[in-house]
Amino acid sequence: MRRTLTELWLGMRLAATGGSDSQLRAALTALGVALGVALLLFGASVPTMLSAHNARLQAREPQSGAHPLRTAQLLVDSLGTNFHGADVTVVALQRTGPHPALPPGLSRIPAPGEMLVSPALERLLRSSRGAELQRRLHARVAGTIADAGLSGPAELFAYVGAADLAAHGASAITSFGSHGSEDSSSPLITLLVILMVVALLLPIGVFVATASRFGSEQRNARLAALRLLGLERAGTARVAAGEALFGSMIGVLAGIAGFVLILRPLVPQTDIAGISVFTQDVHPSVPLAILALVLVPVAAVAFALLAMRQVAIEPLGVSRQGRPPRRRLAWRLCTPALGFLLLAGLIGSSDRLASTSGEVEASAGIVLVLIGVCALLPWLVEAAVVRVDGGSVAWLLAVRRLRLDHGTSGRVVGAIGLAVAGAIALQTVFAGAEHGRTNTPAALRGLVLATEIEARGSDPAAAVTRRLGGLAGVRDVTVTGNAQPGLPVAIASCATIIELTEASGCHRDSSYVVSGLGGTDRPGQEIRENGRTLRIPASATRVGIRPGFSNIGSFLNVAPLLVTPTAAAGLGLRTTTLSVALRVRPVGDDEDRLWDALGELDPLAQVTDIDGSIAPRDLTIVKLRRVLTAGAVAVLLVIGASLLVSIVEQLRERRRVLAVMSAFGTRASTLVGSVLLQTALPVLLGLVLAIGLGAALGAVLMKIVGLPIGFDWGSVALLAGAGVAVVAGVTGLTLPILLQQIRPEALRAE
Amino acid sequence: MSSADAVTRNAGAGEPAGSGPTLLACHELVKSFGATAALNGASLELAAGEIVAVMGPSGSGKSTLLHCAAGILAPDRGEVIFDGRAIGAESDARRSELRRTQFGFVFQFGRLVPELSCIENVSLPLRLVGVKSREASRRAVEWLERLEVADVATKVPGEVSGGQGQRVAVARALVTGPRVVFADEPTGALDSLNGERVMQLLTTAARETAAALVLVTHEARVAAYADREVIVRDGRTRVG
Repeated sequence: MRRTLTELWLGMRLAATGGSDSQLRAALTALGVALGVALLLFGASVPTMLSAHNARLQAREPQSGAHPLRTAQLLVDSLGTNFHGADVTVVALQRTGPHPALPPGLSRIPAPGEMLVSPALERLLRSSRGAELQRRLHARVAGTIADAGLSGPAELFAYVGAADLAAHGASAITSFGSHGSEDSSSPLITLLVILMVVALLLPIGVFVATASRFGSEQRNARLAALRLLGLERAGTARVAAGEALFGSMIGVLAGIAGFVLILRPLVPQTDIAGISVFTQDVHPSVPLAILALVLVPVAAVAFALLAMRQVAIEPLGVSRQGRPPRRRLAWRLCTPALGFLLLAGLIGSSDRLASTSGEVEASAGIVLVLIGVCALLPWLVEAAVVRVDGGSVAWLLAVRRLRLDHGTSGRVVGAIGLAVAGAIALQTVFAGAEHGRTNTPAALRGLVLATEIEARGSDPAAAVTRRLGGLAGVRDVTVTGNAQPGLPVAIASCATIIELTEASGCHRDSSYVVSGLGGTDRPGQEIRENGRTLRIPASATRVGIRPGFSNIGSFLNVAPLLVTPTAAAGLGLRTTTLSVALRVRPVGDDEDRLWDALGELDPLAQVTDIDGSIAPRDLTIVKLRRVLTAGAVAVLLVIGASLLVSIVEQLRERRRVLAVMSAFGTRASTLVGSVLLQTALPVLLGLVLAIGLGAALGAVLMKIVGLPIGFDWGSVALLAGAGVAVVAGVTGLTLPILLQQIRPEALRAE
Repeated sequence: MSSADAVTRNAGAGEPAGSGPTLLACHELVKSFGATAALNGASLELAAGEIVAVMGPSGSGKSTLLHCAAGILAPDRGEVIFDGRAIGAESDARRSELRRTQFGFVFQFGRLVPELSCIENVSLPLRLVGVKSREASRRAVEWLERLEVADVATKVPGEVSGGQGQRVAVARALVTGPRVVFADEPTGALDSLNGERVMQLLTTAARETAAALVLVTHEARVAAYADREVIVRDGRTRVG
């Protein structure tokens, strides 16, 4: 034990004081470990962040049930708008008694015409575009909401004081705060998050693996010298482990510092997947954090020891195996196969993703499939290079080099393949989700509904039709009026009645009983609702809803009595609120002009955007896609760094051979070409493999969440192109080193 | 004494031993690496088909003299003339072409390309001058047979012994029919028996093909294969 510790300590000392190569290797290992630790600590914080986010949302949920201490003295109506693509949540409040329930984060209920806003919304309102939003909200800012009342620091949220919420069908509530299920995220989002974390983290592991091999030639020579002094073969492994441990320990400390000092403070400033998180909510789950802090350095040491397997360190020097053993396909195929098998178990039971076991199963499945790229690629490259022969000298050198040893570049290229496969799977899921969105039935496509618009003026329906119909991007406007709340009466113009129903004609005092909407009312029948009695005119005609209009009819509350404004007056009814159905196809700022107009008509109107025509319906998907792009760039940069380290290391190892070849006249272009081909060939094979496995993984994931399978080949090409660009860029960066190595003057090092 | 005081066993100082005209001449070469002067006025002349041993202790500058003579290094001062053409000041591309077509090299430890088989190593210089793969292989096999290592043709360098590897390296140096072969400590990594065999094969092949041979060594028994010796000490050449 004592000897083991001494040897480990010796390794650590050599890493610290063993020259620039050792220090560079330690620095690279530290960098890889630091990145891994910081990202894993962040990943370990995701469950607590989501949980805190959900707890905050639940804490402000209005409750209308009986309360032991309070009666309902507050009306609440949840509204919303979209301002230049950002969701703004507006909750209208109206106190109806002296002791209303207070939402978290508020010290008082805002008076009518006042609003209390989140700090983020306050900043937006103060900005140059704020006046536009202010007009839409019809209230002045009277204060801010404390953190306790917000789901996150970037949330755009407002409590608006109102005076006539009863007319808008608002709920009377007794308290705030519910105890619903903790995790409300959809299976799709769960899968996406798992996939993204895995696709981001695995390349970091590859970087650690590559970094730990840097300068291994010099290290092995030193270990051979130690063998000459009496160090056992097992001792060399312990000294090498000590060297790797030194870099890893620095990396762990740097990773913790990076998480605490950089990542954690950055979190409140970001808005990911519609979620922004307060700094105080970002703390890693303890078991996951311990796992990360142990796993990453152990992995770095393991990678360093694995790298020593192919060399024999003897007292008189280091020898390599002549030809590497043939790679076996069986276990390499098992990895992705097992992954697909695990994922197949989730098909048809996506609800299991909400449970821990389901998440573990999905994560394991995704990890195994993606690791399959790394496992299969070395076999694929080997199988390909033993079959190709002939060609130019550059090609011959590249192919032969790959035959002899493609492990190093294969690993890094495997990481590129892994990242591309992960990104393709993600893009497939996104494409499927998008396809699902655009798969809205034709009757509902482009449909925006605005209900509970306060009726003003003598002919409110005509005024609303004129205001909205004149907007760019609005193709069709259908307006119906609602009488007193609760009464099953819709008021509409003859034109609207003929558009919506099968009525053959319409007079200014016509009334209709609409069938097929679930009601059983008849002409002449008496209806009692909310303490009021209403007799359906005996002259009312029974009509059906026109085919294709049943959805709109039900959205517009066309049931069961439909009357003209004159007929409504005859029944002693007047239009109190209006419901509007709009067919839209907005372009550019048309969306915001429509939101402005709706806000102007009634800021308390309830707006429903059926298929995300004027506000992306699933902003989470859109934002996750942005995160993916940023993540893919970050991953490719990390992989690029790995590739750079790998090529530089390879050039250093081969500097004598390159110098000799240059001495007997080999053209620089031939040597540059061979290095490029040596990287390009595995990259090409890796991308083919990545596209195949990535698309298959995406398809299985879509099957799990029950979305149609669709591929965004444009994105696939873009991602593959990005992979190629990284290789080309990195090769370009290594050219100066290569050109230096291939100068025959380098022979002087002999 | 002039720095151009190379001597031969058979002829006067500064003159090639062979009866033919001078093929390669280095005059008053000066080469420094930073503050360290490697050559300080070294000269060397070589006739076609002549074998010259460049001897001297470690660090004396003999390898640098070989590198300058072969156009691998450009001297700081002095000139290198090959076949009437001053090559010291020529571009890297021209010097590379010269090395490809006119010169051959043998290094200590063979320095074969590890990923290529022995036959591919030998045919590589031919491929570099545009000889078709099949023809290059045929000629490579001939040379491997001539140097008695045809049995390792398909093996990679890591699978052959040091002596076999060095013979493959000799085949690689001679396969293009060079006019000058530069051998830098060709037996430095071999035992005496293998060293003797390699030297016999190298010098015999050089003579058969009429290639001149510059042999850098610090071993007298290796130098004994040469027509004459040039001693390098402190960057200068002098009579041995």
